[in-house]
This record gives sequence, structure tokens and C-alpha cells, in this order.
Amino acid sequence: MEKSGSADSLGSKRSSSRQPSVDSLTSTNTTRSDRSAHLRSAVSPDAASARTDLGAEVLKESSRIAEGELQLLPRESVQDTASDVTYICPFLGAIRGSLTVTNYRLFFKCLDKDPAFVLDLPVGVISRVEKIGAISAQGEVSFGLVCKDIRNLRFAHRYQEGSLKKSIFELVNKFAFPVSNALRMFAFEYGQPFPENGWKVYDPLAEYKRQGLPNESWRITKANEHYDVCETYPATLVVPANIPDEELKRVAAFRAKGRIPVLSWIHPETQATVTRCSQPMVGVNGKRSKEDEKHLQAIMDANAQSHKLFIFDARPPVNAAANKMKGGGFESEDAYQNAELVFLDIHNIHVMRESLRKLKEVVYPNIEESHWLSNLESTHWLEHIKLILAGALRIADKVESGKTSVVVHCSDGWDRTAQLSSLAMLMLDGFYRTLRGFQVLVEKEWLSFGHRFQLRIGHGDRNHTDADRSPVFLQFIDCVWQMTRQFPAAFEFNEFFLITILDHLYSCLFGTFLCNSEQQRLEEDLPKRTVSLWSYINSQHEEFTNPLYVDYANHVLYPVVSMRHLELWVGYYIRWNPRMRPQEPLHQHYRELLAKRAELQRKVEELQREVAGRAAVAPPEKAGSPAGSPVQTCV
Amino acid sequence: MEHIRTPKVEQVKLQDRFSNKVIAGTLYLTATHLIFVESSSGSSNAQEIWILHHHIASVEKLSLTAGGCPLLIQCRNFRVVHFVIPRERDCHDVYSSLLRLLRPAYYEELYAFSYNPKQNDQQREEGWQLIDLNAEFERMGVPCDQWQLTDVNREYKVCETYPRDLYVPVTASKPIIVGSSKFRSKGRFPVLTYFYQEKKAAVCRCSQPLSGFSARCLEDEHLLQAISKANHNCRYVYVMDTRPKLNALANRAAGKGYENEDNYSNIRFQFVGIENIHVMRASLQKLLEVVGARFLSMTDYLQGLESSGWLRHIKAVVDAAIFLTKAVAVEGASVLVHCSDGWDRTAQVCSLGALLMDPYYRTIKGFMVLIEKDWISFGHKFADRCDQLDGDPKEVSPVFTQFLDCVWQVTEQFPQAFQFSEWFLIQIHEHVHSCQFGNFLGNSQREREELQLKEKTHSLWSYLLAEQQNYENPLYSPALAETQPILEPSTLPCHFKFWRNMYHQFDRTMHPRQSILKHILGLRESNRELERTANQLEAKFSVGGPPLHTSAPHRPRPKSLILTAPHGRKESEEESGNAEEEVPARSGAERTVEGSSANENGYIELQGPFSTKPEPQMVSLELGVARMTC
Repeated sequence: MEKSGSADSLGSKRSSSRQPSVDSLTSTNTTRSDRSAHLRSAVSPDAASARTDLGAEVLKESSRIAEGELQLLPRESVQDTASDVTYICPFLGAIRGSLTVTNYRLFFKCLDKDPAFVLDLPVGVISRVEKIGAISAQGEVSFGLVCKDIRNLRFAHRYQEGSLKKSIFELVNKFAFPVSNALRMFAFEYGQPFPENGWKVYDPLAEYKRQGLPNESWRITKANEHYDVCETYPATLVVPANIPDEELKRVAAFRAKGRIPVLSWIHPETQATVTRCSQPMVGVNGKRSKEDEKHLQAIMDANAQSHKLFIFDARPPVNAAANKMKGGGFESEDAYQNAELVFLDIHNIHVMRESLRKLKEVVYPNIEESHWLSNLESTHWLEHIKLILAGALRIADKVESGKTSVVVHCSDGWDRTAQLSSLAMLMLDGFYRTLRGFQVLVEKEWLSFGHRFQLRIGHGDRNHTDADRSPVFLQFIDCVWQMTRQFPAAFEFNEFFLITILDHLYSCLFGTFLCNSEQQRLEEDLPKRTVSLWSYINSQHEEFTNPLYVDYANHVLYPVVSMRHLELWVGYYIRWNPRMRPQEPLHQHYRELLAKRAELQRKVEELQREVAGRAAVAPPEKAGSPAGSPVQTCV
Repeated sequence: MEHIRTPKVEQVKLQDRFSNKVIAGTLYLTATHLIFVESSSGSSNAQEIWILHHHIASVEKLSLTAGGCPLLIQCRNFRVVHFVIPRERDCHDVYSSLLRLLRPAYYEELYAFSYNPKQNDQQREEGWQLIDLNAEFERMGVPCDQWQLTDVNREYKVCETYPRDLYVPVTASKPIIVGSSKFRSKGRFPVLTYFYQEKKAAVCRCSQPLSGFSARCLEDEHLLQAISKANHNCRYVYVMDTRPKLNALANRAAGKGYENEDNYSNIRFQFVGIENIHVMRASLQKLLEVVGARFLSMTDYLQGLESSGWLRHIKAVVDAAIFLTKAVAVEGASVLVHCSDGWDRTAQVCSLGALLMDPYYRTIKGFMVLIEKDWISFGHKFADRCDQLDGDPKEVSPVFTQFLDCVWQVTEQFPQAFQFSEWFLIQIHEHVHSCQFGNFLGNSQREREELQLKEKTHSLWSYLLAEQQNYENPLYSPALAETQPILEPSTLPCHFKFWRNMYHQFDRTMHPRQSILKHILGLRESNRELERTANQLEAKFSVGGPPLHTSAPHRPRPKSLILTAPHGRKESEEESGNAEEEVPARSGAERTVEGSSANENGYIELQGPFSTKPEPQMVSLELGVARMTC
């Protein structure tokens, strides 16, 4: 699979590479776009010319730092440059160079080195800026930048205390945390036009229509149009047809944060559904709600194939029970006839945060050779990944093989529930495995259903110890990556797409992942005031497409969740290590093969047409001749 | 044969190791194989399993259960089968027959002597002539002005475990060689194994010196001096002792040991720290125990993998090979490699080092040459290490398996640098233990000559070359060898991975769902097909229209034990292949479930027909995903 193109010093030792050694986010794009531009001309010239739309090109140009020059984005402005800064690289040692801070990025370069060393990262990635120690004997101050993308960066620079000029790191501190400093996020400045508007990728009505909704059992309701049934839910909801809008409010009263059971996905044949909600407000006294019970009954009844309903509670049973003390809890099988409750043992956001923190210690900067595997084990990261995938697999299996509808919830239904429902849908529905389908999936299950990105990531917020932060979305992407490993031809997107999503999850360049809910996003008018990540991605989609992709649209994918098949995503977590050499460009090889095939196919078709034209009496073409048969869609 | 008491047992159940799947069938015991045939349930594609007796490492009778008497068979090619035989007497008969059959007392009883493919004598001889080691040394540029062929070992008098033809520095006279050989364990004196022409640097190999605490040998010192002088680029010679220092010290107490830097001029001595054969044997055993566990938690897996040490040992060998490569190709220094006897770790390091330095060894033919040179001719004790005859179990060790594993790790890091794919490595591994071909029988060239293997058995290499296309790596890019001749693998611990396709090659449930390799092979095949069609059509124009059907030179793929590319067949034959691989593009709304286990098998059972396995329609949910019933 492709590794991120994070170029490195080791690679550059090889004579062929002339690129400066870079170690940054945007540089990934650069190396990649260089290659793909290359490819494009090699593969099909007409495609290349058709694709010189300005937006994508401009962005690409602006992120091009091949000559070690800072290329500003639209409305990006240099705030300050300090010339005498040392970057203390954990791999290459101290590097002296100049540091530039803009309202979007931090740009460090050292041209004395050969190849030039460049570090280019959006300040949004920084979660903490800290001064380390006192001023050294040489009059230098050290600053550490803790990043959300697994890195820690350390700089030192000469600085006189009491001097009027502020340290450049105070500027970093200012622009990295616009929310805390009452500044505008760069996403609101950046106005890059793109040929496609990514905000239009997801249209709930179109998506439900694709699923065949509304139908006789399910209706689309506007009850939440003003977000007064549930403020963290989207405006458009799908509920059982026989539950009127008035009753939804009463159901909402019984569900945490008013997050009522609504449909996420419906099976095209069996009508079994995946529905999601939050925990019921059972409390210690075992409260019941007639409306809620009726609602779940209606969900079950909507599927004629099965007289059972599975409720998947993502939490460990102990946690679910503990929630009763806080008024929450889980459905009792007495109250909900024909329902079976299953706990999936997935831990909460705090456990996950801690697990990632440990993982970071194990993989960055250096990996301890002798205890690598047991250290990895001690983070439990892969175990959490396994539990999430296993849970999603059980849901998918229940819906596909058991033909039974399922209800998925955790506590609030916006973290683990989003992971489970979206992964199960990814297994069940090939549409979500396409480049655009995946965007729809993220827009729908994560963004519109109110995964609290602002809180979980802490965009622009100085408060790095906030207990609401958690790598829930990262885990989801990791699970997706694990699935792409097991089914390398079933996904239209590649690893670079997943990494790009994660990079821009933190960069705050695009508006996509800002705010906590659909309502907030509308209040902030994000579609008007910011650019969507999907605009950028869809404007140069071939960089993100997997050349091996075969349309497995009607296949259900069941990944193996055995340890032997799950592995650490080194291409993401260890990508900063220069010993992780970027892999040989395999995908280019595939692309060449595909292009060659397309060309041959054209040729064969032409020839055949000519044959047919010349000799109408000629014997019929050989059966199974590859040219005409649909086998050629690939395999 | 007189050992077989019960040639056929019916109603035997075969239990899958990792799932609850049970297949009923009949067990046959022949002179060479144990065969299990699934009782066909109406369908023509009954599963067959053929197990060569030589592949069996151990047979175990487990305690009686309600279903019958369980028989657990573990094979050297990592197949584990679990039969349940209804009657205990049958089970005991099979058990005791197998115990007699699996390890013969004489070479002549090995399968290679009875194996008879449809080949005439001439073809067989050609097979044995495929690889000519003198030509290989010529390819490296030897003999030259500094290195010559010596006839000192023509009669195996100086060292009986070395080959007849040896290359030594021109300045090393016979008395020096003979003197040095007396100072080296088993007489294995320093000889050339690889010559890096570009820098005139040599890789030499030998066994440990019999130095004890103070002994010296002027001839040996002289020979090292000669090796050093033969390379004008570098003033010193590296001496790599591939053992951990502690082991070398222990050997010193036994009158053996390592070179004293004070006695040898211009040497740089270096320990590398690869553990001995006993540690490796235990390590692999532990590894197999860990991954063989049916229910494996993440903690068990990762900690078990680590505590087995297998990946750490792999890394140690790769580290040593990298050291060797850097010394030779970067510094231009000559290197002398040894361990204790110079036939295990030395073979690993020399051959892996050469593989990293020389792109030729990364081709299919070149890899055969490499094995023939560094392993077979220099006397890696295949008979003892692979337990070909009933011998000392302490001599058995997966040294060669480990080498193949190292090569695989490198191929994973450099997917375009190798002409062969992992199936090639797995197939070689298969036949190192199968004793079906003569190449790996015996412990030394001398023994092989005495056994008259070239007259009585067949060569594996011609067999593999005949179906070369099954082992080709579609990503191989020969041009890369020009621009990047030397490979420098990363040794980050996360780059050393468990080789699932080797150690789980017979466990269907462990196979990947989709393999990239197969996709590319399919793509290439379809391109070839298209090209043919295009050519035919073009020809039709020029000639004036011969019918299309006549010129379809569809070469059938040779039947192979390992099947890697069923794609080509699929396009030409009816669409009978695996459901999973087909594109459901035309079948509108039909939903298919991916991820049930078996169909994406890159393998096929030994001797079985092409993939004719029934595809289980059930989904196996593994580990932690207890199956829930509605």
C-alpha cells in the first residue's frame, strides 16, 4: 500500500532523489502531486488537459515547496520570521535555519543542508506550545510543540528576556489557538475557489432516496427542522412511518440528549435496518417509556423478515450499568419485548485517549527495538481497534445474514455509535467504499449526526488537557485502513486519501470538521464562509483513487478481526520516522497496466469494428474473446 | 509395503484448526503419502489432502473422545492436520505405520529415489546441468589476477564438507591452505564465496579457528594476509564472527574460539550475535505454538510473538547481512565470515549479503544459483537440519527456513527488486523438506556424489524453471537493478513481520481475502490476451482473413503444486472460478458476502486438481466474535 510521501533523509541519500528532505504535512501533497502530474501526462494526455482547473492547480502550486520556498495560500500572510532558530530533530540532530510563522502555518527551512531541509506544518496541528527549561548559557530558549499528528517538535532560539520583541513562539501560540485568542480560524480566511463545491457532496434526501427511502415502513420527517427535537441531530431524519412527529418528542425525552432512534441504513432486499440513538434514561429506578418501547417495536415491525430486534450497546456492561447512577442505562429485555441486548465492550473516550498517548510514546520519536511488540501491546491500541471492528462486524452480520434490524447506541450516541454504524455500513454497502460514497458516509454518520469534532479535536483551543478530547475519528479511519488492507481491491480510495483526511482534520484549512453539530455549522454559515475538504479532494480525485479498485458494489465485506490480520498502521503512525522509507511507487505500476489495458481495449474494439465493417459475412467473433466480454472490467 | 497395516480407513473426520469446520472422508496410507479424500457430497469437487511422509514432523495420538480417536499430525511445511478416526485400532495402526514411514533409516528409502516424473534421462541430466557454479564464479569475474581456482580439495582430502572446486587468493600456496585447514574446525579454511567485482572486494567464509586461549597458526595468518592483499582498495579485512561473543568465548575454552586481532595483521574483528541452531529451533517452535492457538488474544499474540524471539533472530541475520554489504559494497573491504562450523549462520549471512549486493541473485535463476552455491555446495547439513533420516533431533534446526524468511522480509520492503514472488520461496521450502528431488539430500557434496543423486534422482531447479511463470513477481522491475543495485533494508522492528503465508500456508481461514499480487497477475494476463486478440485482428487484415479461432496459442499453465495465478485460466475457460473474484457488475442486485474463508486461496492442496474446493457459504466469525444465533 502506499505510504505517505514524507520524504526523508535516508531516502535522499540514494542518488536519484533530488527533493529537499521534507517532513511536513503539505509536503506530502507536493511529492504526491509531482508524481501524479507526472503520471497523468504519461497515462492519458487528454485527461491531463481536462484537469487543469484552476483551483486544484493553485492549491498544488501554493503547497509546492520543492525549492524550499514558502508558497502562501490565498489570504495567508507572514506574521514574522526568525532567522536564527534551531530545530532539534530527533532523527537528524540539531538543524539551524529560519522559521516563518503565518496565520496558517509554521515553516522552517535550512538551505545549508543538502538536500535542503524543510518543515512545514499547519499551526492547527499543534496542541500545545511549551517553553522547556530556562534560558541556556548560550542565551537560547527551547520550545516544544506537541502535535496532534503524533509528532513532537522541539526548537531552540536565541532570545533576550525583557527585550521588546516577542519570541516567535508567542506568535505560534497565538495563531495555533485562534479560539482561545479570539481570532478567526484560518478556514474562514482561506477562500480558494475549487471547480467543485464539496459542501454539496451530501444531500440527505438524495442519500435516503438512494437507499430507497421513504417507503411504506419508513418516512422522512422534518420534525427536527429547527433542531428542537434534538439539537445535535440533523434536520432530516428517517423514522418508522407509523410514529407521528408528536410522539418523537416524547421518545426524545427518554433518550440522552434527545437522540432518538433513527434510521441510518436499510438493507435493499431484506429491509433490515441499522438504527442509531443514545442510551435510554432508565436510571436506578428502571424508568420506562411507552413511547420509546413503541418506537423500537415499530423499528422491528418495519422489517417483516424477523421478529426480533438486536440492540447493540457499544459499552462494556459495567460502564452501561454505572450510567444508571447518572440517569442513563440500557434497555431491559423485559420492557422491550423481542429485543435482545448485546454489549460490545468498547471503552470510552478517556480510555482511547490514554491508549493513543501511550502509542505515541512507543512510536515517536524512536522505537525501542527489543520490546517493540510488547510495548505495542501495552498501548492496547490494536485491541481497541479489534473490538470496534468486531462490533461492527457483528452488526453487519446480524443485518446481512440474520436479516434482523439492529439498534446501536453507546452513552450519547455520537462516538462509539458513529464508529459502529459507519463501519457496519461500510461493510454492508459498496457505495460507501467509493471515493464519494465515503465522503457521504463521513458527512452523514459523523458530521450530520453530531460527532463533536470541535470538542474531540479541540480546534484552535489552547486547553490541551480538555477531557473531551479523544481520537475517536482517528480510530474509525484506522479501522477503515485495516479493512482496505484486507480488501485491497474493494475500496475506490487509497491510503493517501485517509491520511489526507486525518491531516486536514487538524489543519483547520477547511471548514468540514469545524463545529460540533449540523446546527452549529449552519449558525456559523460554514458552507458559505469556508471551503470543504471534499472540494479539494474531488478536484484532484485521481490522486486519491486506488488503481486496484474493482466495483464490488454488491459485495458485503467481512474483515477478519483476528490479531493475525490486524496490524499497526505504520504508514500513518510511524510516517515521521526517516527510517520508514517511502515505498516504491507500486501504484504507478498498476496505473500503467491499467492504462495499457485501456489502450489495448480501444485498439481491439476499433479493429473489430473494422472487421465487422469490411466483412459482414465473416464468422461470428470467438466466444469469450476478451474484447467484448465484460470480464474486462478487471479482476 | 510391509509397514502399512491398514491402507484405508473410512469415516475419518478432519477438523479445521481454527474453526469448527469438520469434513468427513476416507484416509489412505500409501508407501509415500497419507491421503485424505473428502467423501464427496454429490459435488465433484471433493477436497483432497496429500501429505508426503517426509513432510511429517510428528504424529501424536491424543486421548480418546466420544467421536473417536484423534490423531494430530504436524508437518515441516507447517501443515497441521487433526483427524478423528472412529475406531481406536485403526488409529493405532495408522499411527504406528506412520511412525515407521516418516523417517527412513537410509537415503535410498527417500521419495526422491522413487519419484518419477515423465522425464527421459536426457531431460533429467539437463536438469542437473542447469546450474554451473564455475560459470557463476566466472560471472563474478573469478578467476582473475588475484583469485584462482585451487585443486587442493579435488579428492575431498583437505575438507570433506567443502566442494571440490574452491577459489583462493593466488598468493595462497597449497601448504598454506593445508596448514590453515588444520587450524580450522572441520578443516573449513577460508575460501571465496562472493566477489564484488566493482571494488575487487571478496566475501570469504570459513569455520572458527582452533585458537583456544593462545594457539596460533602461521599458515592461517598468512592466508588471511593473502586475502587482505588481494584487495588493493582496502588495507584491512573484516572478520565477522556471526556468533554472540559469549558463545565464542565458550568455544575458546574448548580449544576453538575466534581470531586474536594481535596475531593477524590488518584485521578488524567483529561479533554479530546470531544465536545458535538450538535457540532457533526452540524459537520457531514457540512461534508455532503461539500462532497455532485457536483463540488468540491480542496480548497473547503480540507478547507471544515477541517472546518467541523469532522476529528478533530474523533481524539479527538481516543486520549481519547489512553489515557485510556495507563493508563490501560501500567500504570496498574484503570480509571473512564464520561462525562455529561455518555451515549455518555463515551460510545465512553470506547468501543474504550477496542477495543485497548483487541484483543477479534476486532473479529466479540467480536465487537458485545462490542456494546451490552458499548452501548446497558449501555443505549446509540439509539432511541433519531438515531431519531427512532418523537422526539426532538436536541437529534439527530451521536455519534454512530462517534464511527464506529473511529473504521474504527484504522482498516485502523492496517489492520491485525481486523477479520471484513469495510462492517461489514457499515452494523451495516445501521441497527442501519433501525429499522429492535430489538437490537437498545429504549433508555435503561428497555425500551427494556417493549417493549418485544425479543419476538416480531429479533436480528441483528444472522443475521450478519449467513453471517459472507461476513464481514470477509481476512487480519486478529489472531497470531498478541498474539504478539501485544495492538494497539497504530498514531494520526498524516494525518492518519485521510475521510471514503469515508461510506459517499459515495451509490454514485457509488465515489467508488474505484479496491479494494484490493476484490482481496484478490477472491484469497482466488480460493485457496479454488483449494484445493477442489485437494481433490476430491485425493479422487478419494483412493476410486477408484467416479465421480467428485457429491462431489462439493459449499456452496451458503447467500444473503446479502451488497455484498462484488462476486468473489466466478463468478468462479462457468458462466462468467457473471463484465467485469471490468475479466482478458482479452484470448481476444487478445480487449480494455476495466477502470474507468467508477459503476461496481466496493462493494455494492448492498437494497434487490436487486446480481450485476445486467447495466454497463455504458460511461466514466464519473469528475470535471474540462469538457467533450469535437468532
